[in-house]
Amino acid sequence: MAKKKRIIKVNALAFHRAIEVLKKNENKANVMSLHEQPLSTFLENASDYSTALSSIPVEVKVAILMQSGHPAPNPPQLDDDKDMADFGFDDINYLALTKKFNKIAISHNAQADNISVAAVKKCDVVKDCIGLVTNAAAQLINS
Amino acid sequence: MKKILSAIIFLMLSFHTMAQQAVANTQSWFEKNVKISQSMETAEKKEEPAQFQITIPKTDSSSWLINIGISVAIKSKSANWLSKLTGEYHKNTLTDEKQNNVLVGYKALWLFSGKNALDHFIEGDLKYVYDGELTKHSVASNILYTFLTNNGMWNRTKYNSDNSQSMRLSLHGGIQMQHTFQAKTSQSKGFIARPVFNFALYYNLNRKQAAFPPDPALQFSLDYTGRTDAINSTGIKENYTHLLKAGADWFLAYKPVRVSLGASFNYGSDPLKGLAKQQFWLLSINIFKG
Repeated sequence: MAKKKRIIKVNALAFHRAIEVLKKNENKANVMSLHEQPLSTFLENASDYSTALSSIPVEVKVAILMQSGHPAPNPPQLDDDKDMADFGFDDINYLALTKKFNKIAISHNAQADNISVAAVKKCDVVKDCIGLVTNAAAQLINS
Repeated sequence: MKKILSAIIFLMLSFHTMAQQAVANTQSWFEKNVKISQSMETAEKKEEPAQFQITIPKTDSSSWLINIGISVAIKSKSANWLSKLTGEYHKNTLTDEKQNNVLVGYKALWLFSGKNALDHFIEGDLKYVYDGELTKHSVASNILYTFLTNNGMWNRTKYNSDNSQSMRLSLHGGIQMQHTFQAKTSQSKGFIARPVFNFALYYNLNRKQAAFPPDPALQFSLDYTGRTDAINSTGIKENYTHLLKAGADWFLAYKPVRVSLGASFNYGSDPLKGLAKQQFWLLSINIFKG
């Protein structure tokens, strides 16, 4: 008899942070694995994390691609290590991008920290922006 | 299955500590905080590169063309305000009417309003202006409005479906004020308020590259500024003045600065920058760092 597929809905921000903590510790010994994969990889593959519009990494990549004028933004194709300088954003674009990042953070946590435009301009690569929004949205979750 | 569910629930509930992701700033302070272009007057002028040309003949006097603007960012924790210290130097001895102009000051950019499709900005500056040709010292300020369309091409580069072409537009409108407090001729002294508008268009033919965004190979640009001296207490009436620049750039290098060979047609004047009314063609090496 075929197993019934179960769908578990989880908070996007909490799931993203769980993946980050797992990845951070998976270089150490005695890591938890499942079906011969690291647990973080298993969870990512079993979920729609990489494409879900509610996922912070996807939302941040969409915001960056939209601001850069890409005709058909496709977040999975945007490499995490892509240099932000390659997009050629000027100050007007950075202000608009910062506004969007703050909107993403608040949508996940109404108590999110304010992200400054200076912090966004300091981001060297795309994953720095993802980390910035994640950290802003993570405030008070631990309290 | 129960073990997996337990693990997920445990991780979701046990976030008492989260290591701060270090935003590693591997780029130097210069790369992050310093911009170089032709002018710092408006944000879209980032597309106008600095220009250099110097000839020093054996017997005749030297000839110069320098159009350069440099800005250094000022630290801030704001989400909708950016400010910087700016300096510009414009020297041109190659044309019919010479230009020798220095501007030093402070500039700010404020995102004051916006919804999904449209963001609204105010750009303002306050600067000291020295005109070497007229030996004139002034204090000047621009307060300009502009907007960004989050799906369009106003203050945002938009690419076609295969990224082979891209375009960007900008429109600024506002007021320019200048108070000349010291000059060689007394009729130059006084206060002028000029309503001003600027329209700019940049059209790129891009290199065929897999990575996005592609580097531009050729850029065609058009920049038009119109102004009138609505209030003028000096002895020199300006009436309506305008400045048209139309150009093409062929790009030679992109990082860490963008270098291009450029040709442009210039017609009109810019009283604030000491550019008297004239028309000329210009071929130059251009350098831009955004």
